[in-house]
Amino acid sequence: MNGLSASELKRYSRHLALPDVGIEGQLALRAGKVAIVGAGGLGSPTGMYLAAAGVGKIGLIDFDVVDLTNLQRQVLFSTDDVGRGKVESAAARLRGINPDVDVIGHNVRLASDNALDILSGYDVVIDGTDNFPTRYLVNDACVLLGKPYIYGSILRFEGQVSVFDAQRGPCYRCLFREPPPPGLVPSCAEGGVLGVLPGIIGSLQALETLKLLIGAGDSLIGRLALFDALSFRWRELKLKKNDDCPACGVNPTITALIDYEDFCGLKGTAMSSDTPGAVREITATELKKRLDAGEALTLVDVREPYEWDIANLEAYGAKLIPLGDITDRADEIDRSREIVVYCRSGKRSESAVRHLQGQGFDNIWNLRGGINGWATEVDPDMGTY
Amino acid sequence: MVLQELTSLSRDAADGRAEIRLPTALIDHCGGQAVLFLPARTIGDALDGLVAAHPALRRHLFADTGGLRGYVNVFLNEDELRTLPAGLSERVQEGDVIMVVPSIAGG
Repeated sequence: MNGLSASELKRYSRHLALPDVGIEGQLALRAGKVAIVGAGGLGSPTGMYLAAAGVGKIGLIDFDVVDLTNLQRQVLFSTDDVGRGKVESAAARLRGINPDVDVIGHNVRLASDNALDILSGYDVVIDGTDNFPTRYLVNDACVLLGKPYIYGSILRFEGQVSVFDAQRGPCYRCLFREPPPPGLVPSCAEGGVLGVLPGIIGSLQALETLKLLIGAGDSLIGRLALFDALSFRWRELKLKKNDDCPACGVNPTITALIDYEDFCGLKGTAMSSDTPGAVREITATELKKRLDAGEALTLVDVREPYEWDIANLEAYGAKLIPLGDITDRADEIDRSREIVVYCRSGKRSESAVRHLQGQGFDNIWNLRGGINGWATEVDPDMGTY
Repeated sequence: MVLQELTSLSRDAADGRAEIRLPTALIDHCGGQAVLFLPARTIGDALDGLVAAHPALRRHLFADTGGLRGYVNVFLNEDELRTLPAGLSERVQEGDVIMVVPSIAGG
């Protein structure tokens, strides 16, 4: 009669008791279609709360598999899920929370050639990704499709949350006109993140999504909320549309999706040592062989001190110079010998090698796979992290 | 009247200290301090003082051309720098907070 089944009336009774939701709001949630890009720390609480709230269609977009390191914060998954596809595991979990929800799994990497197609099937897009290229991609796709983009981002003890909607306010590019150079801003894998933090920020993304679908309250459009968990301080900042924004400004230049890896400076890493300006790589096995042969090599570890404490190559003379200090401390590196730079996985050290090459260090190598590669190939007792 | 004048004097004091708040992504480059107080008349003064005291921060905040980097935003209280009429020359008053907000991508 009222559009909700007897089971729905019971399941959502606490929503129905809210004047701002009621039957009409619950029907709006049931009609809602929400895409969650990234089934990780942020995607976990957003997916679970949206499913519990009765959002009719939830699309999960991810291509990764569940890793043991995810479980400290990604509460969608259990230990038994390690090794399983994230989308498959997450979809099962959401269906378990609420079988009435139509959960669509998109087991793909969101990219320029599929983003518009996938996201066009949804009303609202939640960004739970962990990298800059995908964030710019999601923003631009939402601007082009005219859809609200629920933004959340975390690092260590701090989180940011906002709602970008180019039709009613600023977009992500209005705030962050360009991405940082690769390696400059640490990822959660590098800088760490307190497990509960994505729970807080992701829950706020779910909150803003529900408000948009219901049409209740004041949205975070035009506002950026910052949370510092250590000091327990919230700050709210005003955001304005940038008339010069290339995506949503007066004369937008981004009228189609672009190459976001290229935009974020993540392309052009030629591995051949013959290519001028290329980053030469050495495998852990080869490095070990050369060290065992008594070759004098300068080893530079560009990770953070806490990572050095987990595992390091100090026994081979490695020196710790975190990536952020590499410019100021480059003169501490012995350039009379061949130099091998390493980090956790090989990304930060690649950035360091490029930087040092620019400062005239030419006899320099990047350790492929980082210290995790060393642990895998050379020293299994070391363990990876 | 006297009180107003005193307040005005205090607010316009040239050696007033600006409160600068830095995010976690940048505090490694300034000795781990998230909050700093620096003498400053304007936002520009405050940022100049910040990078003078902590040179490692300069390349994170400023491009080689001298302008603020596109992935760093500066707010005076709740207002973004580029929306302020005087920009970097905007006066800083007692009790104001300058916040540096960089892009982070963790999820």
